[in-house]
Amino acid sequence: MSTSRSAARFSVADALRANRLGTSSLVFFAVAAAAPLTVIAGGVSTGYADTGFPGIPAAYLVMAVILLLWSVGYTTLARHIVTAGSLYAYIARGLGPRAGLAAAGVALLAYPVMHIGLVAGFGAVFTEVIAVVAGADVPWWVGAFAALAAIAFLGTRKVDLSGWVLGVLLLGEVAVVLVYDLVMLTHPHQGHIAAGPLSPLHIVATAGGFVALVGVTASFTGIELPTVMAEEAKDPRRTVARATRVAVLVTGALYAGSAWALTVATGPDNIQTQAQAHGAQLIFELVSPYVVAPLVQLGQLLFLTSLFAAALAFHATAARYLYALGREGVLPGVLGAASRHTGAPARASLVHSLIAGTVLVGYLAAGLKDPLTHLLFWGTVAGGFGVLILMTATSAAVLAYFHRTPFTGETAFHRRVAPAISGLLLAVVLVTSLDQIPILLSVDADSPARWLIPGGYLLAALTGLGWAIRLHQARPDVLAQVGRGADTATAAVPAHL
Amino acid sequence: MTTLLGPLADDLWRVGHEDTTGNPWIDAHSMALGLSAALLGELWLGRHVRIGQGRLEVAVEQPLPVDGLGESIVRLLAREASDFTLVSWLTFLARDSYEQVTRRMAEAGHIAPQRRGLTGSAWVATKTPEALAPTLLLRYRLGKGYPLVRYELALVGLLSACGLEKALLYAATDPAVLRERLAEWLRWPDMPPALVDLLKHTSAAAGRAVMTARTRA
Repeated sequence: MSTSRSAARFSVADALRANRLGTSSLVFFAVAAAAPLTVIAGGVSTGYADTGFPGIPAAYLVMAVILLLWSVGYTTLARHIVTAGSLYAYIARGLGPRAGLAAAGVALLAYPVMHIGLVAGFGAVFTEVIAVVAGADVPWWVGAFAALAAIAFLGTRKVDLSGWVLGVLLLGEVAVVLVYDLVMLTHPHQGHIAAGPLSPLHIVATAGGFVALVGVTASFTGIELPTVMAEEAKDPRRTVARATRVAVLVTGALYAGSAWALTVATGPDNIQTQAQAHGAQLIFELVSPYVVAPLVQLGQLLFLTSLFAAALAFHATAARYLYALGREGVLPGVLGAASRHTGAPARASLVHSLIAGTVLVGYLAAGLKDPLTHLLFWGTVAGGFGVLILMTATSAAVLAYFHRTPFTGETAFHRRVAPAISGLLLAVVLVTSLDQIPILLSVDADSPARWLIPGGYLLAALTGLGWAIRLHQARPDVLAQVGRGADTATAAVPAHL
Repeated sequence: MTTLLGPLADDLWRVGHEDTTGNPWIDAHSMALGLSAALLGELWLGRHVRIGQGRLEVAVEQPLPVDGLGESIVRLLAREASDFTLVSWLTFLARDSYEQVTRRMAEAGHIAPQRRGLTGSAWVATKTPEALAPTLLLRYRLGKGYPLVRYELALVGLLSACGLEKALLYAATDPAVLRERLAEWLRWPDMPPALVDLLKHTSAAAGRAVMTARTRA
């Protein structure tokens, strides 16, 4: 009797585990969304070129530490709220539906902006690759719209993040980056390895330090993914938290290390001039004297696929927001429907692609011609600003939720200390970076253009808030249910929220 | 008491498939989750299990369900319910809920395979009035504003949770009214807490399944 009992026990647990993801798989998804080569070849190089800020490696290290703390509060809250929502749902549950919709507004600005930037970046790199491979002169927007269309199509199918194609590409990317880093570190400029750029003091001591923190945030956006996939996890309670932590550490170490390796190869004083001279090709220029040509070409190709994968990841996030909001009735219900055949959020995906396409057309119509700087770099930093706002609000939501909810079995560190410290640090970064935005945009310190980014988000948040007020008048029941989902601890939800 | 044929999962299956062609209204995974929730709903309605706070508990004092599928689930739950959450059970049962319910209906003679194209086949209801009964009855009662009994409320909640509202509203004469009534019932303050729990967790699971875009084996 007991053997059959234990045999049956084995089968249910096994069956649940069989199709589930362990820590390493969840980490994999998180890092894949972050797209290493895109960050290092695209983001970091342009960051050095544009701002001349030498402490970008330090920015990655500092941000990694802050996000480690942040992930503690976030994953703790996620254990108590079962929701098919994204960050805005957690904010709604913690701070109320109006705050949740304001956050949704911010998210619906941040993610599309990053998606557009990456698609434009893809187009620009595509042009360069085609020029080398086929000698043809193709305008950047050809590649950009091709990527947009491909992503729009993939979004209507169930594009499997665990698909082996994306998996192989990611492993290739990471391998190539590690090899390049090794090459650069073993061939330092003038034989001298300077660890200066890794020093966190740069953040406070040098102009542009805090805005660099904003810029690097976009590289970490995959870390919210393990939580969304919690049902898929082998041991939701521990796996998700562990995977999020590991993802932050791996991402931070990889990017800090690579960004530093770039300065080692050029010498910290020359990094800006070198980056300005070579742009996204910087890393390839630096390693090509020392590695065989095919390895450089492989890197170029993986750079292209990396941009595509990153654009796809942000598109998926934005579509998820639209789908979740449609499902809750905040946005038109048609967005919240899954495709009949593939079960993918097809309409949400198409709507987002349409918006992205419109913006690209607008950019072209305005006659602007520098997609790498205007769209990719500024877009990623602007998007990072929005993600920072969301993360700060999430920390506040964690604090508020646990303040209201007794007997959750979580330690004070998890529900108070970690979210409080991380929320405070993130808020400091946000506020201090406002001053430094002109450096990012290369405008004068008192130019009105510097209000573009924070102003845009304020407008987005107010739009979300306005929507909430309108909902309160027209459909108060829908407003009350925003981000609700299901509670694991209590079946009845407090009436005042 | 409802005039529907039942059991709950069978009626959800009927709502979920077109009566003449057998074409499903939603994707397979959402359907599987809905059916798995419906199977648990059957057990709840029969008072064989209690649901609360995201967990299941078998009512050991009750006799086992007469239905073979229900009985096997109760036996499994009796051994292991305390070790896993409601969401885990939904996921576990969803692995083969579609096949199990289809088989149960086929064995009872409610559905039969029909050739489709050159090589395919689909399960189609043997009697069209039976196939349409749940959809039509719910439309009628919702449209007239009549009260719903527990069974019908569970069915309505489940079809909403897995995305089958469109099946209910398709070709209805007054979809706006239906939508409104449906929404009212779904937020009925006197809904049994166990049903609230089941529906919310099913809804969350179905939403996440769409959002994570993981293909399933």
